[in-house]
Amino acid sequence: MIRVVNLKKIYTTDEVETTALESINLEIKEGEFVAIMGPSGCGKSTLLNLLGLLDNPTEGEYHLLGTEVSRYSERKRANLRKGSIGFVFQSFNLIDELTVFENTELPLLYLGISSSKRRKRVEEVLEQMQIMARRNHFPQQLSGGQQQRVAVARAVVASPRLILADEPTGNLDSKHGDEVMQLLSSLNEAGTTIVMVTHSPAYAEYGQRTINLFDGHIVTENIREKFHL
Amino acid sequence: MFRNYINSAIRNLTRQKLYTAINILGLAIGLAGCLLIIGYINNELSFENCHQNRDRIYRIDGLWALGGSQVSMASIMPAVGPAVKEAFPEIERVVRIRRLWTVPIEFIDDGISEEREGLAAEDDLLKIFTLPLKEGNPQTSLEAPFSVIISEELAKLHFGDQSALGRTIRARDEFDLQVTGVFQRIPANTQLKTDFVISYSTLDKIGMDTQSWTDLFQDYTYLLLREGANPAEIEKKIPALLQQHIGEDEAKNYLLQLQPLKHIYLHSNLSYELPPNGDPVYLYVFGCVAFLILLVACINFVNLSTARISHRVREVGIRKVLGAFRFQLVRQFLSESILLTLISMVFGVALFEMAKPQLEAFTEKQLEISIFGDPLLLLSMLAMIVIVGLLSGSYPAFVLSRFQPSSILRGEVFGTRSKSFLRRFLVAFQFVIAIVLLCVTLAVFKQIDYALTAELGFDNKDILLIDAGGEVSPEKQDLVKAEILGSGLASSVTVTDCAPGEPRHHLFGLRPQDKLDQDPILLHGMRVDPDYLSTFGIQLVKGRNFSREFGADAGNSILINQVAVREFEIDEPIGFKFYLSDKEYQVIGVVRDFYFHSFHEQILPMALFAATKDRRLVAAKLPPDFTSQSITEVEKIWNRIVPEVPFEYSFLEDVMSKNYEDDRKLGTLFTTFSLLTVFVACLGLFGLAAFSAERRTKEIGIRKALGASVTGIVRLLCKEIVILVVIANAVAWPVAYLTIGRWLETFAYRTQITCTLFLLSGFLVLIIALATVSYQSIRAALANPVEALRYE
Repeated sequence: MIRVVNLKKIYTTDEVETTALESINLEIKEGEFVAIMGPSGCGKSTLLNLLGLLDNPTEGEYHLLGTEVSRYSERKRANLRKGSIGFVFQSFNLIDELTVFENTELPLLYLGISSSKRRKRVEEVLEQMQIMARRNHFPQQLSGGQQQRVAVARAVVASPRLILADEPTGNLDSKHGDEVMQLLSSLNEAGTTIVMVTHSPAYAEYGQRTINLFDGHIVTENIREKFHL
Repeated sequence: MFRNYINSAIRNLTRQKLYTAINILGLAIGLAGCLLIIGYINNELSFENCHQNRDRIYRIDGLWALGGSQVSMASIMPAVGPAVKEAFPEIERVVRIRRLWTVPIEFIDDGISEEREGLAAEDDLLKIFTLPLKEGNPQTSLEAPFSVIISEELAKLHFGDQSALGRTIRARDEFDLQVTGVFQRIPANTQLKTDFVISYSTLDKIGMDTQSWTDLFQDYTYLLLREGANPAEIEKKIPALLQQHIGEDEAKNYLLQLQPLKHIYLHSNLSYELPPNGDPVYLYVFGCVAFLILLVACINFVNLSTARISHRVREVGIRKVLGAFRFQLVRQFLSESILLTLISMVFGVALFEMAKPQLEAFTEKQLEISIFGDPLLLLSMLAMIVIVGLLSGSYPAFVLSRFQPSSILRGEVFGTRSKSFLRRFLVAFQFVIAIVLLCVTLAVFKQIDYALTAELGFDNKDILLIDAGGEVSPEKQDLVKAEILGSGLASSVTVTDCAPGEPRHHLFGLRPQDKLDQDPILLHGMRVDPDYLSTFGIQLVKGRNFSREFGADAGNSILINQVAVREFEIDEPIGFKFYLSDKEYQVIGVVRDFYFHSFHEQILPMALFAATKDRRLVAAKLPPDFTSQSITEVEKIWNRIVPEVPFEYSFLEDVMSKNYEDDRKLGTLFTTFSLLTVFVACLGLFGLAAFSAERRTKEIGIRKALGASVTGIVRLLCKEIVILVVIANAVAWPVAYLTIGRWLETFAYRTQITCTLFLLSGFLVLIIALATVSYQSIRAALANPVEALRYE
């Protein structure tokens, strides 16, 4: 599903050039659950941004679903993104001025789905995430765990084949963190590919594979056999 | 999708109440100001639109050239009207209108007398102009002598609900007029406003000249041209017609021109224009002011929106991550700003409706404007909403939507140097506008003050003017004068036809003794008695004053001013002779120059004629400590001698002050609008200061933790504003200097443009700006540093 060859990302500001990623080679198959780990500033989030088409690499190739996309324009990236990739962030990134329902609905709006279909699908997902009762609440009226559930609902509402999660449990206590991981795990079981950045080795265990990054390079890859209970 | 935009917009607006209120209030004031000015301009441009034939109506104006000087008159010789009608078939109708000024009229039915403005006009008046009659036959009502048509208001006042037709009105206590029609209310935007119109044929019957080829100041002559007729062709044929009637020599002194009716109100500024007379300069000036105030409000909008980008940036990032295209975001932000403009417009319209009566009262004009009744105004309103919404929303919209989603999520987008430069530039630009407007305002008042307090060359204090009109006999006028003097109420009293500083004076065509073979030269003249100089404190610099002892003074002596001596290059003025037609006048003295009109005009050559008749004014110099009792005493004297004419008085200072009424109004309007502009700019500044304090909370916290004092922090936050105001002054002063210079050029005698004026405006703006930002700055500086750091 994802193939990355010699990927490099350099950030340039007025006077400083920072290499965030260098010589990244990586392949992720459809239906995999991959965890990315590493210390702060090692390039985890940058890699996730590149995989999520939020940014273009400085060098290298990126094949997503068999297509080379590393030189795509913002418009093309947006087009590809909205149908096939869902995002979950550490800080939830919900829009404060929109209700739970409206936040979840957003990806479908940008996909141009009709109003009645939207409502049906959003309600379905909110039920699945057990947050339906809060559909008319605003984000600031919810607990962190509830907010992240809304964020997951928003990530899956368009039924993407790939979900990118950037420290989805980072702002949550262990109980709510576990809940979110359960959610992601069950999505993966249903066939969705998941790439997750995390600091927690315990949550990395949910994946079939852990990629360790250090100073912009992949240093190790641990492959586990995943046993489903 | 649109619902989503609107929801998000409304929730954003309500969440950021201060910014929303500032934006809405600022824009509402800007829009209301704009609407008022558009309404005013629209009203000025709509003059004479009420007349259906307006495109075919022309007035004949006269240009009278005499000895190098020219007088342009709105009225012309009475004989021209019938002559052109007869000579030129392309003229369909002609009407001669004569202004009767204020006429005392008595309504025989109820016995009530009053003074009203009246006109005399030929019967084609009602066929050329659209003046619908409520009663009477428009075809015939102005035909017969001694017919009169009156206003609906007069009819209602005196005859109630009964018909006015056939009633009798006695004019000037001399002749009876029969009411033959009642005209409906005349709209405010036409010059043809009057209380009554008598038939022109009456003038013949009461001995007034209606056939003269030489009396230039008589009749306003309007033509209705046939469809397709060319006014220029008619103009070309007029000189030949004049030659035919008054001979070649005389005809060459006159140039008669056709002026389109629609052109007259704003663009014709001849002598003896019918009131009111507009001035296109005001339209340009206020058009600019309207634009500026709206611009300042829009700048607020842009500034506050870009300042608040940090609050919206995350939303934009999320929307982008979720697949929003750039145009969708632009659309979202533009609809948001249009929504805000729409809300502001609702408030703006409310403000407009509240301010309209004030503007009407102030301009003494009935503004025939209503927002929903005027398609142009409605259209301008819609256009304003869209244009202002797009203009003020587009910068934030495009800036926000430009960012890469990944950089937004990394928090790298706001607070860049280029944006705050733009914001500073826009704030400085607002200050420039405010300072220029303030400078101009101060200059207008300085000039008016200069005009009212300058050395006039005569004394205008405590001078009581009693209007004797034309109805009081010269003997009675002199008797009033003698009685006032005798009672000791006044130190000096004079009877004249014009006080210095009054906006009326006569022109006399005189030939100097050394230029008898040339055309006469026009001199301003006043008819006075020997006490004129002492009453008005006018100095005699040479020769002697008029005197009763010199019996012949009344017939052929004149005093001239110093300008006349210079202009006519007279070496020895005393004994110098001037000729008015064949009559000889000898100069017996020279008076020091005095401003006999407003400071808009140069002092021109002038002559004082000793006269015992043709006077209309009794002027008395009262002692400085006079009381209302003195006036009552004078009134008693008047009523005893002239009981038949009502006692009407004024003070010369008030009369002169009217010469600057337009300037004062300009000043007041400028003050209002410049203060509004400053207010709107300050609203924006207040918002920006709040934002700046909020954005720098962490910095302030760190500085305080490291030992910075409150005053140091306040100084830090205010420094930027001071620098901006200083830069704005540097730009604004030259602009203001040029603007004021241009305006002062309209005065022949003008005040100096001084540094104080600029310094004062700059200082005022600085103080206002500092006061605006200091509240937020002090609040931020006083906050507990721990709070600030914890917030971060």
